Amino acid sequence: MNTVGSLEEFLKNHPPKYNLYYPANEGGLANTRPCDLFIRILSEHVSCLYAGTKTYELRKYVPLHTGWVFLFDTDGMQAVTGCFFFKDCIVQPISELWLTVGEKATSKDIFDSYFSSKKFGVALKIERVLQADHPIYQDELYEKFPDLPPPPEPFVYLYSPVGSKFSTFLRSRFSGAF
Amino acid sequence: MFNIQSISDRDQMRDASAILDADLRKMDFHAARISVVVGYPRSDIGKSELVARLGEQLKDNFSIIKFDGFLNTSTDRRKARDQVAFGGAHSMLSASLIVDFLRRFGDCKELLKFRPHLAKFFVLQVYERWVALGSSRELFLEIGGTFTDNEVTAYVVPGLSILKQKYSKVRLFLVTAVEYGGGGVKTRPVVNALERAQCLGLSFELIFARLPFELPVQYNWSAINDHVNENIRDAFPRIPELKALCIPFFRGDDLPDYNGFLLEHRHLIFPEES
Repeated sequence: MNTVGSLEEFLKNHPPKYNLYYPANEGGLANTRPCDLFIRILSEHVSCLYAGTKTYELRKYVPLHTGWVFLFDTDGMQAVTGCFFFKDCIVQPISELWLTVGEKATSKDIFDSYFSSKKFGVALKIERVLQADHPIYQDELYEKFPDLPPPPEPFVYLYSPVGSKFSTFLRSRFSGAF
Repeated sequence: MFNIQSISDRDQMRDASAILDADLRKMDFHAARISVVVGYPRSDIGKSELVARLGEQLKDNFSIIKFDGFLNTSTDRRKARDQVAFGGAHSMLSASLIVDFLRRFGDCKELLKFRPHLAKFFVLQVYERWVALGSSRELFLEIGGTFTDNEVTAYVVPGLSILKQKYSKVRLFLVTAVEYGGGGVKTRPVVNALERAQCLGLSFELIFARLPFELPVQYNWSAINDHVNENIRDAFPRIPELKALCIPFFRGDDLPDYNGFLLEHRHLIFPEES
């Protein structure tokens, strides 16, 4: 990962707030193991991402893993509609991060609002985007995976090991793109 | 074969993104209203008929641009080459668009992609055509085929998202169809259309749901229209703003009634006028 600034201090003061999802009988998640991610995101950002104008996804925490990130549209249909792949992320002081990512992440207003009172910000560098054939609705997700943690708060990741039922289920909706 | 421009004419050494973004910033539609019409689940679903009649209602000061995904340039009088000559700035062909894009940016050092680069170029081409057509107050942009066609999902749909992000007076209309069977209308095709659209990042201001030809002559339009809207609300409870307008299958002597029907429901089509 490309890091700038006092990342160690940042991580020390901002320990990752992850919500790990371990489907039953599939064991725990080793940090070194590749995995899929699952995030909640506003539909306006999803639109920009699908249009190719958004090539950085902003977060307040450094992810433990890189990989495919499934996007749960929170304010539209409340469904997974697509995913993106990232293998690099940038952690920089807020002012430097804006100079690095600029409008390839979001507008300045949203950027400033999102990172208000934060010293460091995280940008995931999006390399590839896939769109689902059909939305995977929240109801269907919780019907198939009732122990999936409910939305705890925005911008918290849910992890699931590659090959798990959860990942397999999500990946199956992308016409064999994986 | 198209004519290759001399190397010096091209933007080969320049940053395509910077040029495209600068051109997008300069783009000024002068408060024109842009109505984009897409179709699903098949082509020939009545988009052109709808666009022409909506345009007719606006009398003058409107223009129409039609995008077609053709890649061939055969001379059978209905494919790309002839349409370019026939349609002029009204016509936008996938093949020509890509050729123009490559002529300008093909040798640039930046890695070019369908989205955002070609998508942004598509938006700029719409703008250039609108200017060439007289910068009308109303612009209709019809996307040929369906919104799930490969060339459309590759750069036209992303282009529409960019257009909406850059310019607020863009309205997106879907023309789709309900089916008839078992003594009633089936709204599954409409719901499918909206689900597919959502996965592409498209959201519609109004859905025109064409009623099937097979519908018995005596039917209650109002009840069917309510039924279709109820089913949409049930399928998408979190998007209450989704609204459909069922269009009777006008045919033969009834066709002139289409204008009156659209006029009667103009407040739904262009609510900002109310």
